[in-house]
Amino acid sequence: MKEEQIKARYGNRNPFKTPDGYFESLSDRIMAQIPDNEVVMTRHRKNRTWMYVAAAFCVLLVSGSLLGTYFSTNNSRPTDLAQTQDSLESPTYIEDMVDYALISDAMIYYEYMSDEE
Amino acid sequence: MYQFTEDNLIMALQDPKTQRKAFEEMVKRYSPQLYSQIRRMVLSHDDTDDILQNTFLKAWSNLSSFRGDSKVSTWLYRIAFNETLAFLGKQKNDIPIDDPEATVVNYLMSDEYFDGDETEAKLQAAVQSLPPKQRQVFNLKYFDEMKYEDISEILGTTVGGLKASYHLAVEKIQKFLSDDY
Repeated sequence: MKEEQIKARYGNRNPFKTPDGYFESLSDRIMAQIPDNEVVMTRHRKNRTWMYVAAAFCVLLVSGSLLGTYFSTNNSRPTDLAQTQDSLESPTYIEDMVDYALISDAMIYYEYMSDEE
Repeated sequence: MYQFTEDNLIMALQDPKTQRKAFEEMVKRYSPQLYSQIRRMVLSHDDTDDILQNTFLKAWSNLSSFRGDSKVSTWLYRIAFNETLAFLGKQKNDIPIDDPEATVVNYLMSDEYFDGDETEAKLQAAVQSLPPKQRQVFNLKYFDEMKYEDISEILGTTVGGLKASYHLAVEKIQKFLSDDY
């Protein structure tokens, strides 16, 4: 009930006013403070630019990896744990992993059984 | 009257080709309501004018952060309130006033841009006695009769917190004005 009592006695009208023409001139005054040719790059536009940069970087990375594989003299293909450990530290690790991904499960089993014999 | 609707205003603000035109329309569309919010907080027209301009300039420089996931008005209100709180924060080191009510009433009654009577001036003095954030809540609810959910979106406070804040604000104002009852 307190709010109603205050409103009944004091009202809730907006008693503030502005000089004549204030709002009409306000936008001109604000726009005059923004340089004429200035635009703001928005998040949408920024994302596009970074997408292009990221895409170009990925292309370079993949190209570099493929070229590295082509020109690489290191054709080692580790089949045991010790060699695998070394491969993790070697620059050709990624290329080797790609090679492994292309080997079928049957081939891996065959290699394993061959080593055991 | 306006070239853009709310939805395509947001898109126009994102496009460098239409950005300035859209921004100018945004200023014309939202400046009256923002002016009222700021003026009720700081009382002075000149201070309100400064804060309002800063609000829109800040909006311009932060267009990149506006994703359109809230209404344009909500986003602008937030900037305006933050600018207002920053302004009031700088003012709080001023010399304390012995009789705040008399000072505010006298100030308003002598202000050529105050259209109210002495009763309304006393209410404004009571509102000025509230802490700034509580004052914001009170103004939005009492004068603009805004829903708590909408206030919550602007101020980032829970509806429960707003209800409690408003209830306390009303009690303080009633106590402040109790000499008049």
